[in-house]
Amino acid sequence: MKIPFQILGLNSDADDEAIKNAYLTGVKKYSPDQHPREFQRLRAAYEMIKTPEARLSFRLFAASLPDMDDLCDILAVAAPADKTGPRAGVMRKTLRENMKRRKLPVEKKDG
Amino acid sequence: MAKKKPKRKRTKQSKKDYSTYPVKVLANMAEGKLTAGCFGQAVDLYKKLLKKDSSGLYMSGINKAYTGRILELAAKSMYKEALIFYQNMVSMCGIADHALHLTLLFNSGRFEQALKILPLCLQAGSTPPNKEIMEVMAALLLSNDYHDLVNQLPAESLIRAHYPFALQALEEFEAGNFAGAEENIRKISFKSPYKDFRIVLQVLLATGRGEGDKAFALARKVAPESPFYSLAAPCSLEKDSEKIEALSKVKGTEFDYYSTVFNIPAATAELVAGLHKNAANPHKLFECLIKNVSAVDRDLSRELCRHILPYAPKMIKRFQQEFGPLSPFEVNRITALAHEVAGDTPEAVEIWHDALESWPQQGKKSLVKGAIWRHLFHLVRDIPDFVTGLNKVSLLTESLFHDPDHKPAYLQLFKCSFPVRRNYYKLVEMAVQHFPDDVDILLEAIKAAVSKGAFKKASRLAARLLEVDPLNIKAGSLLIEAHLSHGHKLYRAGKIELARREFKKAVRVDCRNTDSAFALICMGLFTMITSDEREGRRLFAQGRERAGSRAAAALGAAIEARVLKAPAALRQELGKELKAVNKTEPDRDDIAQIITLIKKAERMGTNKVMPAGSILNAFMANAAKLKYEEVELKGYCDFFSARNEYKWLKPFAAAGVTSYPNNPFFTYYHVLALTAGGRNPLSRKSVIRLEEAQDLAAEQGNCDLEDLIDDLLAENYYGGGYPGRQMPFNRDLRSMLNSPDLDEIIDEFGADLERIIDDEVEDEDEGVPWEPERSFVDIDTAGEEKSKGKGKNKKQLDLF
Repeated sequence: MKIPFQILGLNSDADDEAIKNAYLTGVKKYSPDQHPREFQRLRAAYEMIKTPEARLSFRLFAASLPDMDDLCDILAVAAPADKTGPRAGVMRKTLRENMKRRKLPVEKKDG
Repeated sequence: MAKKKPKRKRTKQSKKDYSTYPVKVLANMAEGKLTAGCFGQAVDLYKKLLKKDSSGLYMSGINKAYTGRILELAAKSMYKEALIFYQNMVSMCGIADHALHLTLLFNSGRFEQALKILPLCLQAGSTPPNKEIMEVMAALLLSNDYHDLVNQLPAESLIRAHYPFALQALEEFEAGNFAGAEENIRKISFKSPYKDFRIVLQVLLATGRGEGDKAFALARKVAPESPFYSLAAPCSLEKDSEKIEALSKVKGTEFDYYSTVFNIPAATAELVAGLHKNAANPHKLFECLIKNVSAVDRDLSRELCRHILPYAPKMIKRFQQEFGPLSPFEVNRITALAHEVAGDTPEAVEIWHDALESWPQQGKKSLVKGAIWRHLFHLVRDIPDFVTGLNKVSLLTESLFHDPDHKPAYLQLFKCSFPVRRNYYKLVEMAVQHFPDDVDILLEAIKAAVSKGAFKKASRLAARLLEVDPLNIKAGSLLIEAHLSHGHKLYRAGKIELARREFKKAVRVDCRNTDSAFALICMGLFTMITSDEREGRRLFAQGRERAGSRAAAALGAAIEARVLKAPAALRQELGKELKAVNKTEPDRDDIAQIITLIKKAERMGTNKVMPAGSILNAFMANAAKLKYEEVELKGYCDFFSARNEYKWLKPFAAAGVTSYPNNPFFTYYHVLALTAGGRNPLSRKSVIRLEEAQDLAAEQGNCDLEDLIDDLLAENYYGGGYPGRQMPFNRDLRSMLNSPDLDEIIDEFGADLERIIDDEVEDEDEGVPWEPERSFVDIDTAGEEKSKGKGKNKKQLDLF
């Protein structure tokens, strides 16, 4: 977890209370039963920065390369695309690309 | 120079002249080649044959030869060459196979021509193309503007009839008109070659409406071999990790399609895919983030770059160019972390010191400094002080100077300073003053008081702990121990009545059964010895009953009898009881209670445990045969090994070797027990076992065990002196000794040693102990200074 503040939608100077409030708001939105993955993400972010000491450790000593969980976190905080669904022509282009790669089995019916 | 090999001249093979061959011979040869599967040669022979005899007698043979050759070439993906053969076959034999022709054209990438052949395939009389070809043709029609070609298809064919609905649905969907798209796909039947496209659009519509589960279920219905599968594939991915994985594998148009289906902005998709692809290369990761800095929030990019910087310290400048200058402290911090990442702890420590110096608030207490000192402690905690030149106690003391409220640092400091009891006791005192109501600190204070023999104080602290945390089981247990220990002390001093009072207090403590059982046993024995034997026996029996484990109760009684110096008759009686335990069947609870009892007795300062316990050797050997978890068994082995109880260790380690052969610890413990802790010589078999265990430990990355085995081998080897496969203790030291610059290192070490000695001499001259500055060595002297009236170090004490 590299972006706990962003996951909770906070600035990096947020204090204990702001962090707790953001966490509780998040939990209301993403309950553990209905959104287990989102809840897990929120929980991990909260655990990481909930105390001043944890925040200090995070600020001073955190060093790691992004792993798959981090990439998922980035997706979670990134704004969604403006439009849902493929843009005009993309599907046909994709089909065309696929056709170029595709090969039909060559066989002779009558032997 | 090596001589060039002379090129081998290719001799042109002279072609056979078949013109002189009789027709029959040629026909036999062609048929022979055809049967042998040499289609190319068969075609050539048939061609020659046709020149001689054009009666049509060999038409079937040449057709077979051509077909065989076409299939042969197609199998090697030589579709263009196959097409030439096909055309020759048609011109020579006049027999057309449209489906084969279409397939060859499609595979050669001549889509338009393939579509032109399709109407011929669908004509009545010719073999209809299979389902797969029809679906691929349908996908081909949708992928481009082939309206004219569509009109050439038979009007009654489904591929033509459903084409307008499929195209309309696609266009409506891309325009965002979901209702229109749905209306059109309803007109596509399940027999249509567009049926998979119909499902794909349903999937995309469900995704667009946020019905993820429905989309997911529908997407799974499209078979991977369907030509429309590539459109459904992204919708069959449920987890974000799967989506990222997929994004990193596709490119171009497909990437664009995937990102739009996932509803991720293209820039973000590019960022995550780039990060995933370059996961192992910090520099490329960093570049990827900087390149896509606009893809996500700027703070987020900065944060991610900040995490990567210690892995790519060369990028600090690039970071500053992008996100603005870094303070000297930040640069030092990142550089120090970079050295940690590279495993260069000494350099990291050095630079952390620079970071501390560059911290803007000099001279003041600072949580940041406190955290860095603690971090330094954790960095060097497993390395001996003389290797790092750092004093761990001093590091923690510094951290507490800057952050006096950090309880874990106190607790850590207790452990480090425990060997120097005077400092330890003072430290515990200070901690209790700083955290008067803290459970952990009070527990430590009780232990300190017990180990000091201040039982009265211990019982007072335990009572306070129970006030703070009435449900604390450990507090009750420690309170009982404190009263019992105090009672023993008073008993030894001959103050029987005062001792009785302490025993009574111990019995009155409300706590779990095993603790109160021990108190009752002690009280019972005490009463039996000092006053009323009947009452004593009643209490004793009550205690034994409450203990649950007969073995633990008997052992507790035997220990207590020795502590209270009970009359010989009573001791004999209890000894018999303990011996009788050997005949009983042990269970796991017995062992757990015996261990707890031994720990308790040790805390109370009793050294009579093992003389009494040794009677239970047979019982323990039986107990080792029970089924234990690996961790539990290892815990017992650790416990017995730490107390040099090799007779108990042996069966438990042997059980471990049998049950958990992949844990090399058990082999080590077994050999250790066999040699009675290294006192007896090692057998050749034991050496081999140890070496195998060491290899296993190395495979598992267990350096500590490797070193332990080294020590055991080195100090105890048959035939005198084990040569040692590896130097014990320190890997760095080992590599240093193998270094070609050994002389230089020795010189440097000598110079350092001289400097240290000089410094110490200087310190002695000044009458002040050597480093650490704020260590508890200073605390000791503080009292002396105070008594001299100087009070120089008092300030340092007050800081806590």
